[in-house]
Amino acid sequence: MSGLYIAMIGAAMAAFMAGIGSAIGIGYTGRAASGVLSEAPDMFGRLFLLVALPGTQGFYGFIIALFIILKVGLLGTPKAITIYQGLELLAASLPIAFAGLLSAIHQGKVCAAGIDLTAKRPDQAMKPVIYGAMVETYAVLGFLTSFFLMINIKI
Amino acid sequence: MAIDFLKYPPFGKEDARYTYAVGRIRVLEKDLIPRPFFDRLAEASEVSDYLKFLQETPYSKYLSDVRDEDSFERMLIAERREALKTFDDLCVDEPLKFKARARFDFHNIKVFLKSKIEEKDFEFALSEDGSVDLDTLKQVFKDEKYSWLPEHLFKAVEAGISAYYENKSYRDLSTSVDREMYRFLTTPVTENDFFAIYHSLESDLINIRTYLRLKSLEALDILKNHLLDTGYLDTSILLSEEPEGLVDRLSYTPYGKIYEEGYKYFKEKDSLRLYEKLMKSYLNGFLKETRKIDMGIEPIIAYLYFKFEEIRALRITFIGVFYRVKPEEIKESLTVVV
Repeated sequence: MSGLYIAMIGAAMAAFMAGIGSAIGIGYTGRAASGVLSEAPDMFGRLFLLVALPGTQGFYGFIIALFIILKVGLLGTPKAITIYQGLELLAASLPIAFAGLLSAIHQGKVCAAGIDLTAKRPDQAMKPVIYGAMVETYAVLGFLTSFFLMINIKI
Repeated sequence: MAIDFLKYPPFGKEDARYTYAVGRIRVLEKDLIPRPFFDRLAEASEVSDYLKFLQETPYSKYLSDVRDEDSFERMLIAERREALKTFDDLCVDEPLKFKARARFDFHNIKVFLKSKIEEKDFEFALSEDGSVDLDTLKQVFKDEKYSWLPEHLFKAVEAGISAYYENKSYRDLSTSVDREMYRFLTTPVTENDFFAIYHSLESDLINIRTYLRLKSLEALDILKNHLLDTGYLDTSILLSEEPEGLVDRLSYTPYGKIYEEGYKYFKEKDSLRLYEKLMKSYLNGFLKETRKIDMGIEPIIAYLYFKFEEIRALRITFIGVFYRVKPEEIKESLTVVV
């Protein structure tokens, strides 16, 4: 197997696992927010941040995937990648793939609870955002780990 | 079943199907009338003041049609129907919808049985909020084709008829139908059946109340026939203990304090008022626990029951004000804790 294929698997994992996490997370928050908005449509603005927050992991995954794609030259002429380089790129994609998947799902649950809190006490809308952001920390750490691992891979 | 919990049984398995519903319920919960508002209603000097206060609540939409007791009752029925409809809209587990309406179905069964036995028409006492529509029920009772009913109602009819003909007692009929209702409500029909847990707790507290009630009537010999077999508490404790001894026996259960304080008041004043208040407060506390749930059916059931409680409290306060009962007495009868 060529190293290029392994690198492509890494790029795909970063994008699809973090993307799945975000999709599930936003699925939770979107449903909770729709429930609230069906009774209180004026709360759209207050809920928007909580609904969108679990979506960031999908972007982190996509950015890492894009870096890998650019690094191996998939958008132009593909470079000759050894199996070891391919494995390095795959390893670099894993932190955001797994941290993104799990943190987005749990962030979705935290934010859905926050939406319920905001529905009941609109004046408290920012507090659940802070709790949601705490979960975000670990997605950011996963992203940074993937990023630093990748920029140090010499091709 | 046995009591293996300190205050309330565990509940709340995460169920993401209810994420939308819980969001909607959290907004609706804001409109529930809080206890201080009921105190204000109880203090209304006359019905016109009472209705003026009610203008500040979601009930204002009905008030143009409210003039007397009957129209007030119609308003309460309309609001109850709306709460049940909201439950039907939000509940995705069909069997739970039957449970939400069970009390009305079983009530109708009692009315039809009494009507059949006395050969009189009690149609005015029927409720249209059951899951079986009244025309079907009428036909079933007319033709005596009880097996056409859903199984739980069929069992209740059979139990009610045989209990009545044993002693020719409506009380026995009512107890038997209630027993079947609690059996239905406490049999889990889904993996996450909050109704079953709630009504098992309620069964225990009803059994203790029955014990005290029969004690005051010096009729403990018939206790066995009146106990529900659907609670967590072993009913043999109630059958074997004297009231004083029961304080000790129940002190190791979540009902210890409720019984101790309720029994003390009962001994002094020969009244179950405090016990009933503590019982309701314990059960409402259990419903309030559902506020910790963000994905599950529990908050939706709790909302429905709080709504029933609110409607009951409105009835008590309105009748109190209508008949000029002292505000303190009206407040004393209220158990709302929202």
